[in-house]
Amino acid sequence: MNQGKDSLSADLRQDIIDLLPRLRRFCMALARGQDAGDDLCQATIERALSREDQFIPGTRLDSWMYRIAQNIFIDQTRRLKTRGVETDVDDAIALSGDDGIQIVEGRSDLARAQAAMAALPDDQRILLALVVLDGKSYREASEILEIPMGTVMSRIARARRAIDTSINGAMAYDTLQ
Amino acid sequence: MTHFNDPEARIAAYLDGQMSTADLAAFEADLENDLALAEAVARFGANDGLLRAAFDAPMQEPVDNALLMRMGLGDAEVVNLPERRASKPPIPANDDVRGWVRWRWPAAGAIAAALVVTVMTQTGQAPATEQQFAQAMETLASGQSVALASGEAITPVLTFKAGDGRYCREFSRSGANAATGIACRGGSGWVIEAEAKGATHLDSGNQIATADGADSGKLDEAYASLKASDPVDGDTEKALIAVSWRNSEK
Repeated sequence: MNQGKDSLSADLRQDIIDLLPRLRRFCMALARGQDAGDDLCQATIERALSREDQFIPGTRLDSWMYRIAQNIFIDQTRRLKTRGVETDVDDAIALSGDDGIQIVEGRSDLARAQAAMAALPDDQRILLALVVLDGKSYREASEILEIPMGTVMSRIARARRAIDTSINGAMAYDTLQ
Repeated sequence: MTHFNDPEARIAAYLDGQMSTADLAAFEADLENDLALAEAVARFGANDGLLRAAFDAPMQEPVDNALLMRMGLGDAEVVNLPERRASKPPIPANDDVRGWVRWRWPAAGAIAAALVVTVMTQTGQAPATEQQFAQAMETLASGQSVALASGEAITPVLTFKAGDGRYCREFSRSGANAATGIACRGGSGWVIEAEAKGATHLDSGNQIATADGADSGKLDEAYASLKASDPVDGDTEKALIAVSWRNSEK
């Protein structure tokens, strides 16, 4: 009996390790930065391991953990609201590279993309992290976030429009009007 | 046909590969005649590429002991990832059975540009050979080579689609352990499916010269068991690279 539980636990740990790069990316997008993202990721893993009996084998581990990460993030945000949330977009990612104009331009592009993402409302940012960064289908995103498909579609359109305005400026969007 | 509330919802469904065949056909017909729509698709697609590049750092960092300690997974067994991946399929990002959206994506160039940025920004690091290998599979056109930290050179030779929906590439490894292999793109990265001693190379006429080593039969077996399609053409490969092999399933 005990051995069965231990091997389940070992399997779960190993599956979490396999998922780790994607989980860190998801948390980094949610928490608006790599350090804050890793804190969230660590808290998510801790909670997942302490509640492993709630994970139903055969269901998707990534969806389960993304939901945990989302819940922890929302709880933290609520708690922080009274004190005000601090966000350091410049701290978001450690971009390496030696020198050269292209790298500098690339860095500012990426920094702008991170800032655009950080500026989105939480619900839109979470959805973009699931669909655009992680490649989830609308159906899967609607299950993870427990919102209707129609909401997924309209929310993602709003998020993309905001990202576009943020990256390319308000004028770019006007071409579609 | 699906009713889309606004043009952005329609563009989003297109970019996310969430359109039915009928919706896709109608959308592509509109793209032909509507320059503003085509421009918006290109721009939104490029934005997506930029976002993926901007949040790519965790995907490139090695999962080593230090990271596992930080994440509270420190006492977990650290296994040889390539070996383990070969024995167990990775967790895919998406379990939908989704048809491959035909490529006529004007944003491909812009997205490719965004991805080039990712590659450039990582050259300052000294990633492990495994990561460099994955990066070569992810970003190089067939026929291009990259030297790995291990001193070997990796050259993707061709791209095909496996029966299970994943995209796979034959590659050759030069150096002391010259080999030819097949790696497939799953939800969380490239997995080597088979490797045989002896190099495959593109000859002067860009024809593929096959491995003639003793165990080249291994590759034939892998091709058969993967139910490989014919190799995709250069444009298709370029488009796949531009979107990070996004619709590679399983």
